[in-house]
Amino acid sequence: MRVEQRQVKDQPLTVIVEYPEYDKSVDNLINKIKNMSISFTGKSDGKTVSIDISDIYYIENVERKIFLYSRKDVYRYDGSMADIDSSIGETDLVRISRTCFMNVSHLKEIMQIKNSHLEAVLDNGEKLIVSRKYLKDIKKIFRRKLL
Amino acid sequence: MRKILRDTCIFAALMILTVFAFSIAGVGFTEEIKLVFELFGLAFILSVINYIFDEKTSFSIIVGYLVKYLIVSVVVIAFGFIVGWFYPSNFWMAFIYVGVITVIVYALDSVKTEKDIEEINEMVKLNKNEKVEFTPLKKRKGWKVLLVLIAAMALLSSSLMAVYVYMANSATVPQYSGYCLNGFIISLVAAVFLLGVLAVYFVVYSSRRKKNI
Repeated sequence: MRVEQRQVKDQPLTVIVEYPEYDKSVDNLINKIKNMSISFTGKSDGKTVSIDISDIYYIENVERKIFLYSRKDVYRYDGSMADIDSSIGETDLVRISRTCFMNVSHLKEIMQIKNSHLEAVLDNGEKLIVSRKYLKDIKKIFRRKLL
Repeated sequence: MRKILRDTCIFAALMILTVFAFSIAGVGFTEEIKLVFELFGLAFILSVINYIFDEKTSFSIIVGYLVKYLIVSVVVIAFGFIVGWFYPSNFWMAFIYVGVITVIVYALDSVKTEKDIEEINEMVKLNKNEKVEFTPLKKRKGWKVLLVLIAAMALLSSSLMAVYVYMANSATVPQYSGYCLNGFIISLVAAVFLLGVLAVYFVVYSSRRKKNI
């Protein structure tokens, strides 16, 4: 793959993908580029911040308040779980329970804990409860990523 | 394969419903036709309950199945009394029927969940270009769960057989001794089915182990 870049003043950041034939790898690349532009607006200490989707570890609904969790920080999100559901598209965010979305790119492993609940361990050490019915959605994302 | 089996079941169900629906015009609403529609009605009610249960609760696998078992047993008994399947003498059979089905579904679900987790963990490692480590049999839970459930089914079937033999040899054979025989057959079939699942589990395990060596 050839990578070219050039500066074009007074124009928004533009990515042009040229391909001999449209196949899965091209589709994958375009999706990745599109996902880079998806971000969520969160509030922390009274400041409004735009958080890139790749920086989000998980999103949780706690008593009808939605929080975005990055590696170390927590932000309050004003939208609803349905808003998140509709905006994540083909990103690495996946619903893992009624109240939680997880970014699979930060997933370390899933394990079955003693009371036969499922637990996802993230690479920052956070542990999240996973509902069995969402395992197939997690697999779907990885299959897409490994294509 | 799973899709073919699922489609076969859906197709068979549609054929049965269509054939029996047309039969009403020819032979009227016979007992057999009534039973088919009652079974479909019960299946629909149970599916709705199952859907709501899965959507609204987040129990662990074991607790989830125990609660489901109790709810489904109560619904089946209530439905059975309404449509005339159960009487005060035989309603307890519902606990055995539902129990056997719950055990089979739980066994399959446990094995599938274990397989899903393993698959996801492998994909996580592949995605990070890390070495995939094969889980040895000692660390796996699926076959242990299957063994426990096979033992439970064997125990249930032998207990029911013992009760049946005791009743058959007593001076006045109770009317419902036949139910024990039915229960024995059902739990025995479940035990054999689970043995088959265990055999498939070991075959899949050994073939995957060979691939990973």
